[in-house]
Amino acid sequence: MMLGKKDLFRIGGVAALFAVLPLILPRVGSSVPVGTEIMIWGIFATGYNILLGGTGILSFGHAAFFGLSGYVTGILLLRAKMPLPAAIPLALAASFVAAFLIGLLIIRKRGIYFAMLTIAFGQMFYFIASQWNSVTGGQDGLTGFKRTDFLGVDIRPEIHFFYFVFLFFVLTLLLVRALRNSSIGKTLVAIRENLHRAEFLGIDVKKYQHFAFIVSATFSGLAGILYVLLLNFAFPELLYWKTSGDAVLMSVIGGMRAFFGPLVGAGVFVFLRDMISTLTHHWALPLGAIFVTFVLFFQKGILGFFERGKEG
Amino acid sequence: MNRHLECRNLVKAFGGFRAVNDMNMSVKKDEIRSIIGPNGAGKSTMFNLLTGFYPATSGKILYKDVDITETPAHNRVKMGFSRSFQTPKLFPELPVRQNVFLAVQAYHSRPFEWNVFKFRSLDLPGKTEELLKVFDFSRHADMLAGSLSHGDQRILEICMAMALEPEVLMLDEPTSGMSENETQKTIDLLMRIYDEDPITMVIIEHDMRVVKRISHHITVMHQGALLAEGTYAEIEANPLVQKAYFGEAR
Repeated sequence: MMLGKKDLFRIGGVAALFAVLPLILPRVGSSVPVGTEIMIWGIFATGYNILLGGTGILSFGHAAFFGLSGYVTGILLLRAKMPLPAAIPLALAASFVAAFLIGLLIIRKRGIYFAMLTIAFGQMFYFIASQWNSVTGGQDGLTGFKRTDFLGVDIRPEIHFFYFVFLFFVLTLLLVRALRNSSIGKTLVAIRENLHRAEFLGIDVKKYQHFAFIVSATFSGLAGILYVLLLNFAFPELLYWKTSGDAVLMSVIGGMRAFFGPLVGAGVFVFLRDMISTLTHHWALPLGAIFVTFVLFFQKGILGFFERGKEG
Repeated sequence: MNRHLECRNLVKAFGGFRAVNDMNMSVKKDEIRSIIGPNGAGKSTMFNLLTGFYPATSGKILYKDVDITETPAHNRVKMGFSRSFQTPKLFPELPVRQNVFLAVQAYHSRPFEWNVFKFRSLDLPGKTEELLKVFDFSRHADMLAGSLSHGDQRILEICMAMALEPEVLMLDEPTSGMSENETQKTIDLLMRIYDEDPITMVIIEHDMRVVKRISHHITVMHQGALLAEGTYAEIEANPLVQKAYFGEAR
């Protein structure tokens, strides 16, 4: 079975927790959109971790897909007046195709060279978005579109949109868990653990790495679509390499070897940023300190610290 | 199809240095062939060329009379190659059972690699347990592969190689770094594998007692090229070999 009882139980538990989040957040000085944002970054980080924790590949370029799908959504809503159920698949397809093509060019490179190339491609997307004024709105970003309804359901109110994102969030957890349980997910782990042994088991390593790259990028795209719909705004920083860095940060803080690690990291990241930024503009400073602490003292992240030795 | 694995005028140059220099070899089906030679003779490089770990500079490699010189390593594995390395390449941070499972899965998934749904019909865990039993790993199945003794890591690598049900098993110094006892155990294991179902084996080995016991034919390499070929008795009597190899060992 690709999803065991234990998996369903755990994902169900997480889903239940998030389902009641809109009741809790306002009482702890936060708000519903913060919960929505946690789920969106949770999708981003959980999908990203197929590549980082699941295959052992470091990419600093997934912001490119996050932003690309986000922009495509905005452009389709604004310029083509397309309804959401049509815009979302097209925006997802954009990341899928982009990741396929970029992967084709760079997946042969290893380690640091690969990471550098992902930054380069990501920054290329960033410059296109900030310069192509007529299509993307340039430095000012893309505005003038609003999420309205999805198949007749009004998703304008924050609480409605929360549960709209919630559906994609739970779907992501189920899909990624199933993938990582599957033979393909296990093959990716083999590649992570020893590239050469995997190769000499007859595994076409590059093909699987390419696959992991495309799938993770598509989830980045999904997160980007939802983020742009949350803000009703697309802006170049979505594509900036620092957004990719955030996904790395979340995975490391939460624990990239644990399935829920990146989600926990996303939760901690978004919640702390929200909290700290009400106190000071320099929210990145304490967050950076937390990151350094984790890299130095808790290399397996929050979840890794609690469940040492288990494989996520 | 008598010639199972063959190389012709094989060359591997690293910069100006020719580690393998115009090497010729032909291994028959179901033969156990040892490759011996002094350190730096090019044995491991030769192995890496035959298995596709390194690309050849020039020359040809034939497998069942098909040119595989340009075939990527993973495709050679799919054609029936399986190998170990001088320093075992395992999944050190995964349990022994998972190591074997991944090998079993890799083999059985070949016909429908991307169809994850077909796997339910295969009893991969059962096949894994079987192999663990045959290779005497049942008790250590939950240990991390990296925490096994050196000897056991080497045997685990052979176990994973055998999980691929290979036609050609290539072992790079399978007994190096092993105790007397472990060496004996490894030889017995290889002979048992061979006796049950003969396959072609190509083995790099330093321990002449091992060579004597298991090989049908011996290839002696010296400075990247073929020095001599024959049975153990022929090789032992060869004055060239004595000078280049036995002379040093004695």
